[in-house]
Amino acid sequence: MDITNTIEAAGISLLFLVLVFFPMEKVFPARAEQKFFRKHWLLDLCFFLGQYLLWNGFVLWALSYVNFWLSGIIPHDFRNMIASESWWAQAIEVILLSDFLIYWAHRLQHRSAFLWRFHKVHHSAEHLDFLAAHREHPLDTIYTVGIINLPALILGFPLEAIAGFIAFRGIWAIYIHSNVRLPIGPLRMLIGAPELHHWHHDVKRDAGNYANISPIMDIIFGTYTCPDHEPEAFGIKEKLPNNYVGQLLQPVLPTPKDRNVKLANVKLKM
Amino acid sequence: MKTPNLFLKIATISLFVFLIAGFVAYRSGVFGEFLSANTIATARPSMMSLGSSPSDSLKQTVKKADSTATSKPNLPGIPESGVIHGMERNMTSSKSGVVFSTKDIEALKKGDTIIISGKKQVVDSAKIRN
Repeated sequence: MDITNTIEAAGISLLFLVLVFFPMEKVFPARAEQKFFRKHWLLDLCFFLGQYLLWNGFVLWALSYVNFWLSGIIPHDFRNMIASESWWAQAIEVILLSDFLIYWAHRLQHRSAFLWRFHKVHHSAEHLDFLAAHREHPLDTIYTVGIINLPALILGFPLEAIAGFIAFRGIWAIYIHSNVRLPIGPLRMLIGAPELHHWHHDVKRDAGNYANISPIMDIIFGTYTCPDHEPEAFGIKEKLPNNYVGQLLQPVLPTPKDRNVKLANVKLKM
Repeated sequence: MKTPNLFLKIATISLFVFLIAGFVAYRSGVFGEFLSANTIATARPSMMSLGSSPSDSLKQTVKKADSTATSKPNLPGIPESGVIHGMERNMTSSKSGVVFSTKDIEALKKGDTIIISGKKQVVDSAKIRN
């Protein structure tokens, strides 16, 4: 793909997001005192540009590779059996399986120390808005995108068939991070809402609402929470560099604790 | 902060709904069909990214080599119409079993035979939209 096209796509996407979310965040703010150019907005812009200009291609390649690998090991009979089902049954299976998998995979990201190293980058945002939604470590993105798409890849379901649905969920995922409070009533239990996901970003790490989009899994597994006010603070308790390169590198570099363990092992061998 | 009036609230919600509906229509290929008969727009199955535009995707139109075959292709990402998307571009050649790169796909010509997930297909036309 042409670099000019990539830059153009990033620019148009950013313009589109600003057009959609700037008025919403101004007219229906969750935190009225939060400015558009708030603290660390430049860092989140770097994540946005990094995602569009650098990492998207890499994520797509990884997904494509997994798809190719799966195509070789999934029995054709199994896929034929799935294909013989009606289109809507396949679509529901893929969506529910995807929601189920990502719910537990997301809980694991909060529980496993290894996965949290990458996922905490996303949670380090102290101000939530549409731009902060893009703060994500590329390896964390591969994990998330891979798990979300796994059912479709295994079942051989063409995602193009539900492109409109995927597009809606994609932008809704950005919306739930935005600095907007516009309650939609019981519908939020089906498609999610900013007031739910903001609680997931509460500085207390395990506040609930793990379902990335539809809160149905949270309701089923008892992690749904929806207080009538905003959390006091977003972010994480751990220290993380406040620059783009630092946030990309910190999760992959050994922590001082790791180094101490290695030193101790060396001393023991001596 | 001054409370926005009702008109502003309605205008903002309308803009929000209108733009999202436009985006969804765009990514699901409604506009694409107007632009080209040979290509369709795809939504990248990422939930966090708007992703690259449909015009960025590698699109090729192929037709089945065996004209007598009537069953569905049943290949992931390849609908019955025979459109291959950029994501599905990993194809193995029948002889060497190597993975085609984007460069190889660009070099494909009308009439070339390729094997996709074990199914033989003849390239009808191949092009990359810019």
